[in-house]
Amino acid sequence: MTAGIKAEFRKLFSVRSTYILIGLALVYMLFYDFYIIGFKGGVHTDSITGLHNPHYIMTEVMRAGGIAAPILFSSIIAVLLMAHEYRYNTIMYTLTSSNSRNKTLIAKIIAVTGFSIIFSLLLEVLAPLLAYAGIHLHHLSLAHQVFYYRDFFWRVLFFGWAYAMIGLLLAIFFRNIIASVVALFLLPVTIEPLIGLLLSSYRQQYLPFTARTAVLNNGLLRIGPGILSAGRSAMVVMIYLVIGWIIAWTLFLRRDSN
Amino acid sequence: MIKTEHLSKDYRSTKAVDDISFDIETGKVTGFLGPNGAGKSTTMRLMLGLDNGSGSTKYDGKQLHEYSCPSSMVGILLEAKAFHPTRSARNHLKVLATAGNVSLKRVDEVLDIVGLKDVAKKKPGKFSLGMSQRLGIAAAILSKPKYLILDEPANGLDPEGIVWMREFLKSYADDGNGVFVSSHLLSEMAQMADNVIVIGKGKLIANTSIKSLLSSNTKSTVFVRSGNLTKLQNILKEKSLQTEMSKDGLEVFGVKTDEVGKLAHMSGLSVLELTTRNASLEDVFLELTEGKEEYQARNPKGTKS
Repeated sequence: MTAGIKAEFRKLFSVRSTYILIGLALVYMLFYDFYIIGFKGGVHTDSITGLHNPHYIMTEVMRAGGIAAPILFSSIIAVLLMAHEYRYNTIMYTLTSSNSRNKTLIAKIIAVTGFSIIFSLLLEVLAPLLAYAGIHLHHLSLAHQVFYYRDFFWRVLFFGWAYAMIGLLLAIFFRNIIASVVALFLLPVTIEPLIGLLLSSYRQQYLPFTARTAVLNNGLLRIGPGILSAGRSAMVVMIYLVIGWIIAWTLFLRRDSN
Repeated sequence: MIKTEHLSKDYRSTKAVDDISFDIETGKVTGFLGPNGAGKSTTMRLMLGLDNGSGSTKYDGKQLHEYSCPSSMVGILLEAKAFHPTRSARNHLKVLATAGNVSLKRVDEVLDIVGLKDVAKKKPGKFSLGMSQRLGIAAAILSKPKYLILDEPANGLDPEGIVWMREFLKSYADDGNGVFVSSHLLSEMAQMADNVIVIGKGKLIANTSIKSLLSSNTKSTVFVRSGNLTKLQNILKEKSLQTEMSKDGLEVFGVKTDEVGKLAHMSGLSVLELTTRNASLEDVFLELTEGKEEYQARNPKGTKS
């Protein structure tokens, strides 16, 4: 089992795509967190979330895509870790080096979990620092910032982990890089909003990607009536992940290797 | 010994593998022959538990999943290009070594054995088919497994590579290991394999040693030269043996040299030459698999080749 986990990490860090995607995430953060949120003073400089807001950094980083967008790259890395096995047929080596498909899948989950947590932690530290750096370099005046570290910490970690798990699940379902990545992009921005049109705004909160986004956004400062808290939204996401994993696990065990 | 019992696999209405059972002995190279689409690769995948089907395969009495580290029991090469194209050859093997609990030092050893030491750091995406096969062999022998299961390992190898592969597999088997190898290069198989298993349309056609396969085939004949060929032919015909007069002798079908020699001696005929002319493995293969091809090509005149 330990050997399987080590091998998964070795797979992760011995291909170019992992470094390219990490690099792209960092470039995005330089542009968005450093330049837009920091140097430029925000996307909407005339809004209430201006530089005089004591929660400016936290809300901008968490709400406006300062951290959600780069975390997407870890999800793509998770897709590639699984889908490359089918694309290049290395799955036959992976399956024959372990005496159980369960162990193989657990090793993948642990590797993706480990990677997504480290990646999310890196972003959690970098995003606010880059924003601060941009503001200071431009000599902008920033109100004294209040930062809810614990809240920020668990929400970003959960968001990053859940996003990576969704990527891994899609790769197991489709066994195809393009189909998995397309689904990763299309499901939250096309399919789910269309389904949402059929539901009341309260019920929309129980859709998987809406709930996932809500973990990052909902009730950051205060929570309104009828809006799910971040904790409850995380529970909704977990329920979808458990259902997804039951299906994916069954498919992984029962289908031919490729 | 690898013992497969009642392996079967259906793809909807098609029976890809139909109740196949055979043994693979240690110390020998066992060839696996069959036309395209006969079910060779599927059989190998079933043996490794990569495909779901029925039947069982036991390696020294145990199923593969009963071993804590299956890759130390069996090394595989099912597809030449089974690697990530941008992961270097060395890193590819390091991943497999890590997964199989093998020392990373072994990676350089096997790269040296297969002759890829100089390109160890290169990305295998640009490797030729022959180099890819060598990398596949390196992956298969990484854990020094007792058994090798190789699907068409000689594909794409140059003549020197083919000779190397033959000698390598024979010596691997001579060390007390079992080698199970499929190939379309029949002349190569004839030189390399001790035993041969032939399948067609998913069914087992033959499971025997190369020697007995070649000698038992109907295309094997006895060639005889004698002072009086016409008289000898008549004697043989009286015994209901099929003969055919050739330019310099007589071909006798469905008989062994002993019988022809005895008949000639009893008739007082001098025998100048008496020899068995075995069919080539290609003749035997074509005869055994006749009508069992999944895909049949036509020759330029439009008739079936």
